[in-house]
Amino acid sequence: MGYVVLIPLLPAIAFAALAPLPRSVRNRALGVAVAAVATSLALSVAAFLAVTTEAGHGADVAYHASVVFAHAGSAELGFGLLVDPVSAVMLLVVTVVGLGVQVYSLGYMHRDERRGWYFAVLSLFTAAMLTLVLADNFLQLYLAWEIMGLCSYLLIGFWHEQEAPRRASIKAFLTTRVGDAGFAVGLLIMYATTGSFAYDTVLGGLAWAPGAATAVALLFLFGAMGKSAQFPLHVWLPDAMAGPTPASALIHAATMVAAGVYLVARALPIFEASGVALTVTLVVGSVTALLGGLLAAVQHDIKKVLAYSTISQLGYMFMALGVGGFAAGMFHLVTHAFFKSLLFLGAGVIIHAAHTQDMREMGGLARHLPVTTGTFTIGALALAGIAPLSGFFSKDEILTVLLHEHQYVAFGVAIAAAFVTALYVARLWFRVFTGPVQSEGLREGHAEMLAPMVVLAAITVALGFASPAFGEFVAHHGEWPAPLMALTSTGVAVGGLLLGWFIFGRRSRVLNTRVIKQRTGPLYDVLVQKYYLDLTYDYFIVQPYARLASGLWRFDAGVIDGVVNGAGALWRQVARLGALVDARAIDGVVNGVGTAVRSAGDRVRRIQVGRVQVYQGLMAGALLLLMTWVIVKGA
Amino acid sequence: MSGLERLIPEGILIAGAIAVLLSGGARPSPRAGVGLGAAVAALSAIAALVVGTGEPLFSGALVFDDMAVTVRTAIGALSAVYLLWLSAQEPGPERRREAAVFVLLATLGGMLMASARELITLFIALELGTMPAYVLMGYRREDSRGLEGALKYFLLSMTTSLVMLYGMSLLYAASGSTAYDAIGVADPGLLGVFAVLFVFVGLLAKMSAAPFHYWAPDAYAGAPAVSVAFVSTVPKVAGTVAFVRLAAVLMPSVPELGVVFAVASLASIVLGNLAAYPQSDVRRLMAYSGVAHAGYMLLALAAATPAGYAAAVYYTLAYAVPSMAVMLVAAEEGTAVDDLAGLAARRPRHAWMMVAFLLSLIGIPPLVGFFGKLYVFLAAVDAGLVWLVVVAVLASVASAGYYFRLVRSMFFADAPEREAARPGALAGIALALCLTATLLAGAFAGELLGVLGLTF
Repeated sequence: MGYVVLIPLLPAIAFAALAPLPRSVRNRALGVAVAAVATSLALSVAAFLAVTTEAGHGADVAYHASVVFAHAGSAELGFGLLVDPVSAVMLLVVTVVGLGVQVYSLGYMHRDERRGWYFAVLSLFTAAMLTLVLADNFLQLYLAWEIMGLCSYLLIGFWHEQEAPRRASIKAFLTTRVGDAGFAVGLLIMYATTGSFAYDTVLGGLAWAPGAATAVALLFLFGAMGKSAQFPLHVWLPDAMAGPTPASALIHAATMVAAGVYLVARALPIFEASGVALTVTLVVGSVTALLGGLLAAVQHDIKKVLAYSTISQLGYMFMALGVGGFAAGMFHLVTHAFFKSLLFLGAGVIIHAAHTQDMREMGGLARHLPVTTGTFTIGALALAGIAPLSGFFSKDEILTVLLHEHQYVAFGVAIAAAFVTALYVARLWFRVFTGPVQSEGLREGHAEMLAPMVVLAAITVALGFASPAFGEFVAHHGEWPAPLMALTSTGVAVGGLLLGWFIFGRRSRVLNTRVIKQRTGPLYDVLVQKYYLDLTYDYFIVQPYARLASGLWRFDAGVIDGVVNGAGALWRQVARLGALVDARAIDGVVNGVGTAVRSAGDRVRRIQVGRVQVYQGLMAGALLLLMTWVIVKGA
Repeated sequence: MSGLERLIPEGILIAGAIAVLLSGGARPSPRAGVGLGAAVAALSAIAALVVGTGEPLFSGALVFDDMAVTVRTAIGALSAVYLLWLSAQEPGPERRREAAVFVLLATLGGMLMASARELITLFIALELGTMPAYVLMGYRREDSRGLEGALKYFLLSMTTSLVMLYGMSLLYAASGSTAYDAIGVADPGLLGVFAVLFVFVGLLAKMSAAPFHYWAPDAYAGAPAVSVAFVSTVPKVAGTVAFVRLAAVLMPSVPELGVVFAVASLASIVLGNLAAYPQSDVRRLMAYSGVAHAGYMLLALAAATPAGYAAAVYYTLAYAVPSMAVMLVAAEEGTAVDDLAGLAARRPRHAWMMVAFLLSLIGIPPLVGFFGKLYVFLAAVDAGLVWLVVVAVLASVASAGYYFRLVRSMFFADAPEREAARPGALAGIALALCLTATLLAGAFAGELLGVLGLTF
């Protein structure tokens, strides 16, 4: 199965081939990227089939190869390819959605003058995600993880001429950095305790001390929360919608944001060794599932509804993992990847047609966009959890596993979140597809945009029936949903949809935002302000950081004088500042020789003030301190 | 030939420096002179690589092991790239032909420093590398700020040199030798420990590690950005090798050094990464960033293992390339962070290259800076410095904050109406070379590290 190496390599080659080309050539060479990911898809199918036949023989790992690329101390840094049931499934998800998005983008981006670069970055992203999926050690996973973050940054800020994408890209980069720091520290602590990064060593057979396991697992979870936009590190994902819509479909719905889930799923043995970490995962997932769903219900931007919906659904996956429901969490990851990317691609067509992202300015699209309406509806119903679409099955599995583990509170939260999900799905659907038409010249998307949507819709319809097989495949245990559970969850979903129809769907009553706001009171404000999290972060983290930094610098550069000269020095500082301002102001008026003389005088005086002597004194002081320490230590 | 062919790179640099100096008479164009300098530096790098490893010269005063060859080549190449860039500036900085001469001489000092394994040789090489830097910091006579910066740099640098020299003489007194193989005595006594401390305090100050960093922000802010780009990067690579060679010899006999390096590393990483944030001058910002990077280098040294020593050298290389490139772009635009405003609109290619360099400095894979940090952290974890590493990782995340201030400035702020800098195509090529190294050097990290880890 040596061909496995080609799966991530081909998109990487596509990137390397496209990136250096001049723009005009690159724009005409998009086929390279599409062909690369299409071939990767074919090879992934082959790898998947190979695993299914292997699985019949009782072996889990169908292929494992690795090369050591560096020795750093006692660490062997390896690059490995591991094909087992989980990675085989993930390969299919990434390549299918990846190909779908690239084909769709041929239509969506065909007038953009930097489309070549867009396809190059998409290819790099696909390569990184495939590397992540195939990794046989956590270091490689981290490497690919960061490259994906980089691609995400580049794609969010793709239209960097505009204000919003620029801001969003930097926010996304810095917020996920916070999570990544947790992941990185976790990796190093893992290395410190086990001396290895390899799955084989770390996950198999190693007896983890609970303390170390908890530390590593929680730090990994923190990283996953940043990447998978879990509360309270989710703030970057809604803003990330400023990027091109197909990129959002791939990166911010189907694949990259699911990488956090994948990480936790892979590291689940460590979480189980800890116990506490599992509980924390469950809590994080529960909180996010519900709060994300509530936020989705008040957004007006169609992409932001979907973004918060993604956050909420990822929360579901974490809930499943939090009770050790490996198969349930992974299955929801897979079904969600397909139906959510379908929804995003549909939203792309809708945005192209309506020339707006604001749902208040949409309406009545059903008559004009038949294909989009059909496929979008399938995706929306899957999201709401209506049988027999895939989302129903995967959500059901999560509910089942929660109940089975006696997590009744979490089960209640999951039911509530399911209700809210159905509610915002109905709100979105009725606002966009029914009611009066508000835009002119509504046109259905190009064929290359519609084709991937139809395929994804077909997968969404069919995939649910693979539910028991999937469980059998990845965890050696799978079954159909129990009738009672199925009835309950369907009832909740239908209830949510009905309420949504009642509020937003009926022609006779047009409820506008103001009415809802009046009826729900402060709750609405809290939701619209996104729980005031952005403001909180700014106030409690960003500003103190800036204050601490400038305080430290002032100490470093200014206050030191005070140590030497007392209050007099402070006065001189103020005076010098005045002189400096004065000099600057006059600079604008007078220039030339005068400035030079004045500036020179100012500078020389500074030396006379004692800067150099102070520095030398400080150095001598530090040296003396060192010497004292040596003497004291020796004595 | 009695092994003297191993000094061919140095010979090329001396002959080249003289040729560049004299080229003023025959050809009035300073550009050609600087271009000649670039060719000379490139040639010396190639020579260093071709000559390769070999037996030590002058009874072990100069060694030509794998680390020496790697670093000598790297220093020559970095200088060549710098001079290439300098030759394309139009209108260029004044007296840049003379600047090129001093750059070549500093490169010569750096190459010798990378080979030195004897105290007096080290000191001479160090001074040979530093003296031209004084001139570079202040060679624009009409610029009083530059003169002041140079004066400060000179005074503080002299002090550190003297402290170091004092330590060296004490080392000689304690061991009766100046050769590295003899100075690492088993039980050095208080005097011996002091001697070692003096030497390393001098070196710490040269590397601008906290708490001996005070000179750097002030001196850099007073100097032309063009000179800072060179002075703040290339000599540090050579300095790290000197550091590593001495530490490998002296750390076994003076275990306190491990603590000193750990504390200095912690102080540098925390202070450098925080104090860089509020800076409005790119030179000052990069000075503090340099303090932080010295801290990472020291973290690897504190590990006191072969892997740590190799990681320290690799890290300095991984830091020098993007750091120099950032200063070069900044020097084309001005010296304040606000001068970069609107760069993305004016010169998108440069803005994106800057992004890559800054990402590397933060330590994002697959760029070279990531691998530098990775090896440093792994070596330190292996040596049991886990908590220090945790702080270092967190601080490197915080560093994204100030590096992205530059990104924000380039992409956000509306540019004041101004002429775009129009350096020649060669400047772009120089930056592209830095970019290539930043992008690809990570892939060869394993081999490079293996080579660096062989000898000290």
